[in-house]
Formats: sequence, C-alpha cells, structure tokens
Amino acid sequence: MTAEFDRRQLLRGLALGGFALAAPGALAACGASGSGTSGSGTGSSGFGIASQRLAWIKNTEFAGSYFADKNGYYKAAGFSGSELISGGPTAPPIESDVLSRTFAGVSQVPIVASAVTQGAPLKIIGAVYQRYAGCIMSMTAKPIRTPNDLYGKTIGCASSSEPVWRAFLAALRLDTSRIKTVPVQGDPIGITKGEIDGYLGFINAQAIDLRHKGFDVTTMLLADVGFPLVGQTYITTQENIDKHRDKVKAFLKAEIQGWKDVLANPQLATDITVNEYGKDLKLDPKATLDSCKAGNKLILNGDKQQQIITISDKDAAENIKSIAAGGLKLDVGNLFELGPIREVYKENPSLAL
Amino acid sequence: MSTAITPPRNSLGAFARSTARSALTLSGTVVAIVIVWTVFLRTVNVSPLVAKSPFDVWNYLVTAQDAAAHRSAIWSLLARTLTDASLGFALGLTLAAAVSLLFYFSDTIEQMFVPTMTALHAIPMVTVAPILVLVFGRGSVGTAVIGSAIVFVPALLTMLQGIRSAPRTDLDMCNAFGGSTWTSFTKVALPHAIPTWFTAARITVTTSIVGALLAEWLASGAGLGGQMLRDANEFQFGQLWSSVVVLTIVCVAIYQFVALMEAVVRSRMNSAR
Repeated sequence: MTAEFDRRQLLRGLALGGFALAAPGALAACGASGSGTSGSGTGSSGFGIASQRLAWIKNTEFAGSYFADKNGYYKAAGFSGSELISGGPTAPPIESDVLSRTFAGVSQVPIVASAVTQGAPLKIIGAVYQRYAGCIMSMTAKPIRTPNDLYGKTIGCASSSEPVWRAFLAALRLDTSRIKTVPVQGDPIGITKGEIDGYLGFINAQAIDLRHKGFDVTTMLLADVGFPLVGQTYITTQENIDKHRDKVKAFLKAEIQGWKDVLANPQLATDITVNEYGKDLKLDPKATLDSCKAGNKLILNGDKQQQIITISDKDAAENIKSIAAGGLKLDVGNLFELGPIREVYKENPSLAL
Repeated sequence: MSTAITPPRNSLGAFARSTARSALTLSGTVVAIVIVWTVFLRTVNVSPLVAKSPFDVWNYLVTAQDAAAHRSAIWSLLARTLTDASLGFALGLTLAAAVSLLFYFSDTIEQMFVPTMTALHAIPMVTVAPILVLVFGRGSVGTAVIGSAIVFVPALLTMLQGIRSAPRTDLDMCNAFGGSTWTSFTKVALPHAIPTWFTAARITVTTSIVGALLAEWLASGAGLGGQMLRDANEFQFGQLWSSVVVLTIVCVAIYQFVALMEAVVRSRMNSAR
C-alpha cells in the first residue's frame, strides 16, 4: 500500500507536469492552427497563393479581399489563387502568422510597431482605412464626445485594443489617473447597463451592432480627436519586399481593385460577406450593410482622385508621432515601406478613383 | 482505506521522505518540460520571435542585462495573482466545507442541489464570468467569486465523499451506546471528513490559480493574467513565455506543498484511530 501511495504521488506530480507542459504547448500550438503555406514560388509560372491573415473574423472589414478573390483580381495579378485566414479572439497574433506562414496580413499600427520594436522584420505596405476605426462608444444619455469627457469615466477595452488605447491616452496627454480602464473582452453590453461608461470599439462593428439592437449610441472616433492613425494596415515581411517586390505589388494591386468594388457597390460587398465568405458567422444583412458603409467612409479622404490604400508621407509621419507618445520610438522608414504601392499607381494610373 | 492497517511510522521520517520525494518530482517535472518544450519548438514552424525556447526564457529571467527588472516585474504581478488565487481558494473551500456538512445532515437537500451544481459547473467560466462581474464588480469580491466558482464544485464532491466514508460500523456503535446524531457527527463523521478537506485543497489549488488568471483577464486586468494578455498583444513574448514558466513552476511547487500537508494530516488522522 505504501508503494502504491508513492507511485500515485509521483504520477500526480507528473500529471501536473503534463498540465504545465500543455501551457507552453498550447501557446505555440496557437501558431500552428492556421493552415496552408505561404506560396513562395516566384518563378515565371506565377506568384503562388496569395495567402493573407485577416485581423478579425470574416466580416465586411475584409470585403475588398473577398472581391479580389471572387472577381479574379489575385489571379489576374499573377497569383494561382488566394487563401484568406480569418482571425478572431482566439487566433494567434497576426504578426506571428505573417512571420512564419502567410504572405501578408492585416493589423493595426501600434501592434505592428510593437513587433518591429522587438526586432520583427515586418513593414506596413498600405492601409485600407485612412482613419483608424477605433472609437469610444457611449450611451447618448451619458455621452462621451470629447477627450475631456473621458475624465471620471470607466472605459472598457478588449486586450487586443489596449496598445491603441494607451497610445491614445499618451498622445493626447490625458491624465490616466482620472480615467479607469477595465478589461471587457468582446461584448460591450456593459455600457447599456451602466457597468462601464464607454467602450473602445470599432465604429463599423460594435457601434453598428448596438444601434441595431435599438440602443442610442454616441461615438467618438479616436482619429478625429487628435490621434491621426491609419487602420487595417497591410503588412508583409522585409524579405518579401526585398526579394519578391513584384509579388508585393501584385498583391496590392488586387487589393486596390477589390476595395474599389466595395466602394462602388456596398450592397454587393455585403451580400458576398453574409452569404459567402462570412457565411458561418450568420451576420445580420442590414447591420452588415451599415458596417460596410461606415467602413467606406473611413477609406475615403475626400480626394476625388484618391489613390486608395496608399499612405501619404505626411500621414506616415503623423502615425509615427501618434505612437511615439506611447513609447514606441520608430522612424517612418522602420515601420512603413510605401515604395511598392506608389509604383503600383505609377504603373497603373487608372487605379485611382 | 479506513479499515486498512497502516504500519505505524515515525512521522518525522515520513515527513523527510515525502519532502525529498516532492523535491525529486519537482526537478523531474522541470527536466521533462524543458525536453518536451525544446523538441516541440523544433518540430513546429513558428517564428522564434514568437516561440521562445527555454534558453530565451533563461536569458530573459537570469542572464539578460535587465533581467533583475524583468524578474521584479513578473514577481510583483505574480504576487497579485497569488493573492487573487488565495481569495478564490479560501472562499471556495470554506463554502464547499460548509455545504458538505449541511448535506451530511440532509440527504434531501443534497439530492436537490448536487446534480444542479454539477451541471452548472459544466458551463464554461468564460461565459459566466461577465455576468458575475456585473453582479459582484471588478474588485476583490468579484475576483473571489469567480475563483471560488471554479473551486467550489470539485471541492464539494471530494468533501462529500469524505464525510460519507465514515464506516457504518463506527456510526452504529455510536448509536448503540446512545450517542446522538451530533455525537456521531463530531466523533465519527467529522474526523473522516477532515482529511478529505485537504484532498480537496490539493485538487483545487492549481484550479484556483487558473480562476485568478481568468478573473484578471475578464474582470480586473491586474496581475499576471492581465499582463500576459497585454504581452501577447504587444509582442512581448519574452515576458509572456517567462510568465508561463514561472507560473508553471509556482503551480507545481504549491501543489507539492499542499500534497505534503495532506500526507501529514492523513497520517496523523489515521494514526489517531
């Protein structure tokens, strides 16, 4: 019996060790959950698969890529096909997927900048939204309309948005001791119950959802109140830019064409999102159309001949300034590589609006 | 178990032996983790900027230039997480002990509630926690409730088994000599129940740390739970992996410590009979 007891004790210890083993294993396994390979073949036969890791689930925020796939823009640009890998709350970091398995990805400036600061060889090569979609949502009965309204309030923030939120607070020199930030992963329903006063959500996502549930929501777009930031940035590796520049350009060209279709026909963009690419999500068609239209407003900058997805030198410099306040010290050249997209427009002037 | 004859042992020697055993288990666990971890990293295709090796973690915590700063950062976060865990652990075990004793006196109540509680336990805490946050807030009360909700059911089931394990013959003897229900409870049932409280503590002590991490993730944003999520989003994978390693080692150590306490209590309670 004693021996039995000992053996059990040891087994328990090992079982616990197994549990512990599972922890780093699960972390690394996160990286392994994405499928497919980064078709790196660049021979005369083409560029292989245009694989892209999306920033979130397959909603209208990526409709341009759906059109690029559906209307054959990737294939016309020289790819053999495309692979859109969706993200979501449990997905591994976008940057790690782009570093090891996909050709490109969609991310946010502060997160990419954090990765670059840590030595990740990544660059931003374009941005869908000229203004970042993050906004502070609040109930209109107790609205947050200006940064000063934030004082004395409790703001819910998903952990994925925290880098942006802290950069925002720092860039606007807001007194963080007077603003309480609490973690709210996912559903911002707490603002309707008064548990939190505001929620950092996306103007084309959670804000639309709450409005469609009948709540009167006020939004304050961070990019409109002194925090210039682009959103939905395309990223790829330095190696792709150095060795496969034509492939990078082909990818950007297909994305531009796709997004022009979204601007031209938000209803069709909604239909293919709801019925085809994001079918499993069972999205509400009406809310999705509103999301798509809200997103389109972020794409446009008012210029009649706008070259969409590109970033002006001035905007790039302002983005760098926005994140520098939060402690991410980088030069434009460390974070952005805008040569390829400029070349795309130079070679295809008709792509401008 | 209760009727088995345990050979009388020098309890000091037993203590020393089980301490040595614990230390051996601990070091065995560490070696096993390092081997599996290294092999795993070699077989998967993940960027080394994301997937850190044992060497990277060692470097981050020990040999890097600002390793002391790294250690103290993780240390203070860990202290917070362990405080949060102890709240949930204490509340969960206390409630479970109280309820198990209540159930001892009423089979009806037990039959009413045990199936429900077991079923409720099957609901993932991630989905329940936001509701608990709405009710109990994001302070230490909310944290304690989330932690205890995880600890409570497995602790209760273990404790119930303990209090039911009182030998029928002993209870009958108590009755035969005119002992009241209360006497047979204090003289027979309770002494049999107490060792299982420590078993329950051993089973749930690491769960309570998971509960604390969850509460920090969903409610307070504090401690290692809050920081590990921020690390993942800010590309601080050195700190993230180091936190996982530190947590793992701490969990194993705490588990071994509680297991040791359980062994001591069991040997004492058994030899008292």
